[in-house]
Amino acid sequence: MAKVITITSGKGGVGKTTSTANLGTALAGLGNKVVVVDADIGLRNLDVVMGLENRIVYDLVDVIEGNCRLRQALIKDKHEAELYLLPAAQTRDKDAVTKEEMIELVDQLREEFDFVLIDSPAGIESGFKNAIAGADEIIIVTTPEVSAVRDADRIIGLCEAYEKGQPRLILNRLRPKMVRSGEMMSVEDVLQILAIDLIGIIPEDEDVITATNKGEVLVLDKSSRTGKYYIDIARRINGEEVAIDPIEDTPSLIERISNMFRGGR
Amino acid sequence: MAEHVAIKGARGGLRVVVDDTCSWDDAFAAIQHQLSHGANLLHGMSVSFDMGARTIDSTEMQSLYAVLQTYQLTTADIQADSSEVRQFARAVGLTAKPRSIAHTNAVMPVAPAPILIKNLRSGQVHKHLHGDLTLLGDVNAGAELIVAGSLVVFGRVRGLVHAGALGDRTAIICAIELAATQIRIADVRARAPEHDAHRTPEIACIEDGQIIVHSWEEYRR
Repeated sequence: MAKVITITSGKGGVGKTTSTANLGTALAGLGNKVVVVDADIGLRNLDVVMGLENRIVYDLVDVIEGNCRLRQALIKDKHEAELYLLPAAQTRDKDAVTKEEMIELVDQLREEFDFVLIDSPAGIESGFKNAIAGADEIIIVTTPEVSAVRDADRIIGLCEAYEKGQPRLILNRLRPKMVRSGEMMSVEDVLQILAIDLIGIIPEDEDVITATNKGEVLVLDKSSRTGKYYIDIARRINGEEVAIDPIEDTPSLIERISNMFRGGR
Repeated sequence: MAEHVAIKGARGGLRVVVDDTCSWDDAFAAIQHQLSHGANLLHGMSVSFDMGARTIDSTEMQSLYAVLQTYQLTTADIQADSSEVRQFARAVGLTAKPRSIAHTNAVMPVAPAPILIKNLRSGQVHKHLHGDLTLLGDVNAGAELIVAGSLVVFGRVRGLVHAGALGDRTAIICAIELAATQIRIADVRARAPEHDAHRTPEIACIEDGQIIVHSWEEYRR
C-alpha cells in the first residue's frame, strides 16, 4: 500500500515540479516502486522535466473518463526501472476532474506502488483541492521570499482546514551569500513565520535550468549538489534520519577536485 | 453619532440595537457608520436589527434594505415592536419578528478569558465575541483576529487585530511583537509605523480618540 504525498506551494514557479521529478527519481533509486502524477491539468510540465513528453499517449483525464485503462496511461521512466509517470492532459483544464474522481484514481494507484507523488498546480482553487484530495501527507515548497512565504502560509492554513495534518517544508533556491548580506530571508526567518517542520533545503543552482531544458533530472547526476540534497530529502521521506546540511555557497576545494575526477553521469 | 446604534453579541450571532428615541435621520446615519466600520466583524455572522419601539415608513425601510444590500446583510432579521414595521420589512424581503422580553434583557454571559493555542495563518479569520482573549501563537500576515474585549497575544502579530470589536474603546491589545499591518480598537483604526527590528513587547490602547502604542515598560508606569 502506497504512501501518497502531494507537493504543493500556493505560489507558482517555486520548484514543485522540479521537486516532484527529483524526489520521484530518488525514491525509485532507493528501491521503491514510485509513480509521479501530474495534477496540473492544462499546464502540464512534469513530463517535460522528465524528458518523457514524446511518450504520452494517454493521460490522467483519459483514465478518469474511461478512455483507457490506468496501465496504458502510465509511462515508464527512461532511467529508473521502477519509476512511472501519469501525465496530465494539456488540452483540457482543471474542471475536467472532480475531487472524488481524483481520490478514486489515487486509491487505484495505492495498490500498485510504494509511493505516489502528486505534483499540484499553483493556487488554492479546484486544481489544488483535487491534488490534495487523496493525499496522506503534504510537502510544501517555498522560496525564501516574502510573497512565496505568504502563499505557503495560506496553504498551511488550508491543509489544517482540510484536515490533512501538518505539512513539511522544502526551502528551495536559497542563496547563502544573499542571506549573509541581509538581502534574502534566512532559513530561520522563513521557519519563524511558517512554523512547520523542515524536510530539506535546496540552494539556488543554475544547473536546474539546464537540466529542465534537456529533460534530465539532477538526482541522476552524481556530481550535482542539488541532486544530492534531493536524495537526502528522499531518504527522509523513506524514514531515514538524515541531518540537514548547512548550505555553503561554494563547494569546498576538496569537493570540487573530487567532482572533477568522478566526472558527470 | 455612534451612540445611536450599538452592536452586541447575542446567542449565535450579533444584534444591532438601534436607538428608538432619536430621529430616523440620526439613526440611519449611525447604522451606515457602524456597518461601514464593522464589515469584518459582521461578515459571516447571523445578524438581527433591534428597532425597539421605533416606527418607520415603507420608504425608510426600503432605504434601510438598500444599505443592507451594500453590505450583503439581506439575510438579517428585523425585530420590532410595531407590526407595521415588521410588515414593511417583509415587503422588501427581510424576515421580521416581534421583540421578546427574553431577548432584550438577555445579557451575554461573560466566559472566563480562554487561552487559544494556535498560529493564525494567512487567510484565516478568528472571532471571539465573548470577552477577552489570550492567544498563544502568532497572527500571521493576511490573518484576522477579532475580539470583543481585550487581546493579549503571546507571540507575533503580523496581521490584522481588532479589539473592543463591539464598541469597547477601553479594550487594549498586547503583543510580544506588535508588527501588525493594521490595529483596530472599537471603531478606531491605525496603521503600524515602519518599525525597526529591535522590538520590545508593546501595548496599544486608545488615548484622546487615537490609538497609541506604548512599550510594555512605559505602560506599566
